[in-house]
Amino acid sequence: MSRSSSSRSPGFGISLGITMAYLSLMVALPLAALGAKTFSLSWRVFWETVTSPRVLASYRISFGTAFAAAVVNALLGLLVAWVLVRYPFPGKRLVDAVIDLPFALPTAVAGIALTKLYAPEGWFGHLLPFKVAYTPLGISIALLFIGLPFVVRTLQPVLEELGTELEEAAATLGASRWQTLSRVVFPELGPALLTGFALAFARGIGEYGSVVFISGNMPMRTEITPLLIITKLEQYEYAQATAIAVVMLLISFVLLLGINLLQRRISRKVNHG
Amino acid sequence: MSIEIANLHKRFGQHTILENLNLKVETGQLVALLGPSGSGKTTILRIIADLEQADAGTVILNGRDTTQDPLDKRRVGFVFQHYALFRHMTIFENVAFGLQVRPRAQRPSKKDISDRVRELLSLVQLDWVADRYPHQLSGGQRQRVALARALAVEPEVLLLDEPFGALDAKVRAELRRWLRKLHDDTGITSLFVTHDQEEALEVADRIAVLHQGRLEQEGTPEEVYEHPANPFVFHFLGDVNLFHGRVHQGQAELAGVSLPAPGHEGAENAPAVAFVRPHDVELSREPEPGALVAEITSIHSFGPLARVQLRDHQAGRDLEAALPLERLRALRLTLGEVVFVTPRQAKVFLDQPTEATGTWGI
Repeated sequence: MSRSSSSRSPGFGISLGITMAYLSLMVALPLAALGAKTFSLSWRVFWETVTSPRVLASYRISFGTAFAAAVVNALLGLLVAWVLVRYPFPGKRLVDAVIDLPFALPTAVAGIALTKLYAPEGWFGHLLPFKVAYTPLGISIALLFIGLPFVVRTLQPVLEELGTELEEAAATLGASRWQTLSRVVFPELGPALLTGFALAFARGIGEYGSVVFISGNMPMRTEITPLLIITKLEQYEYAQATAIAVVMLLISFVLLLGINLLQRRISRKVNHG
Repeated sequence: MSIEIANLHKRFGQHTILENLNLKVETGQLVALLGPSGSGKTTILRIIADLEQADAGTVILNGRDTTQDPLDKRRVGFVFQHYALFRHMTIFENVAFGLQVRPRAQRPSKKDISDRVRELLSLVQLDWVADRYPHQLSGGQRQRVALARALAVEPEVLLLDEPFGALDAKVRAELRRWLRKLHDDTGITSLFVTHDQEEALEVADRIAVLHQGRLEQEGTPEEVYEHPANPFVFHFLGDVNLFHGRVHQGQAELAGVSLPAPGHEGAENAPAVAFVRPHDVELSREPEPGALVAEITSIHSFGPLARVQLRDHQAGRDLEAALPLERLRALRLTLGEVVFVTPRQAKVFLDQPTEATGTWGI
């Protein structure tokens, strides 16, 4: 374009070109197809489909359980990452490797195992005074399992880089342990924690395999949106299925965009703004 | 407030970091802990600050044994090599941190905190950066902020761990003069760790030279430089020419050079090492009795002293001489020329290195 382009990093043109082409092909095109299919519905049918009580309930369940699981994962994942980075203990490498298992394990296997454990007559289930499997709580537990590595793996390198010097500095200035954590460590970890949360949350919203076994799939109570979409597909209601998916996609996009903006605001302070 | 550490021991696994270390810092002094990396100097600082625990020994602050005291009772300010500023806080918030985390009853009012922070920032000549974030400052500025932050809690002792270690040479030189002045103004007892002998010699009231967890010598810069207690100290405090030879009744015979060895009058043909500072090496065109013959291999004539590298082919060793620029010009030395080399004076130590630990004996 102009002369100023020479000041850009070399390879800017070609790398941006490849990036855009790849993103179009792999992400934008399938999503556009989703949108296009949805447009085959009339506005009225679309609206009726996506606002039917059963669909609305599934949105509440999907987003609610994913949010709850992501919050818990953010807190416990922080603890796990902290322990793995800060303390030497026997078997540490093994524990570190176990963290990644939810990535590798077929989600259906995880779902069946969790259902066996938490069903009313299962190993844990019969010990608990309340029902876990076939309730929203059960869904969240499956999502906890799926989402944990996202938080841990996001926080680990940040914690490693953070080191102990800032904490020591706070301690020499007279800060208590809690003041050091709340005023120095957590703000430093904020952006990474938010990223881990967003990843776990996003994964939880779309999760299907592990959830369908433990949820019980009762309409209005434990039916998640992805399952509802599958159901529509099985009934050959393709356009309705894509309509539900498009709305889900929009909500997810707005939420993730919001998290991204929030994260940028925080990290602008911490990193180079 | 004085600092006294007694019989400090610290091991890490099989590795001895500090061995029976004793050191006293008088009130109001600025003392340098000088040593190569791994000499245990930072560990001493961290033990005084309660960031690390000694295996044995005591830390006495102002005559009171504080070995069991928690950090917040010690009233110790600590400055880290890599500044350790809180990145998400402004400079103002960083400096105010130590005051704001105090329990409500002891916390100064908002206005008092603000006044104190402004005062400290102008003390370190950075009052104009209060609203910036650490990443917007240069390394030298960050370290000054770190110093202001440490001073905010009114410590009675200031500990600085390689405070200028991460800065470039010019800023280092500026900051150490500035630190000296700040110390003179505030009079706070300070202990700083460095591996830079020039820094220690220029800034400190007293220098403690450490090597492999042991105190080799403690004294004023003049004392340790002019009268090093052992070969290690001599070697560490500047460039040297090393000669091996023998000492006999106060006279050192060093492969062709004969020099007086005061303090060794009783020695009977004992093996010895002699150290000669480059500025004690005389170069001449005229043959002199007892002079070495060497070829000039390089001449560096920047700065006030010119440095001449020589090769003594007969003994197969390299020598270094430092001479004033005028002298270099008067001699009109050229590369490859053969000149006569006379050590003016040498520091002679009887040669008894203890092989097992690798430390130097006197």
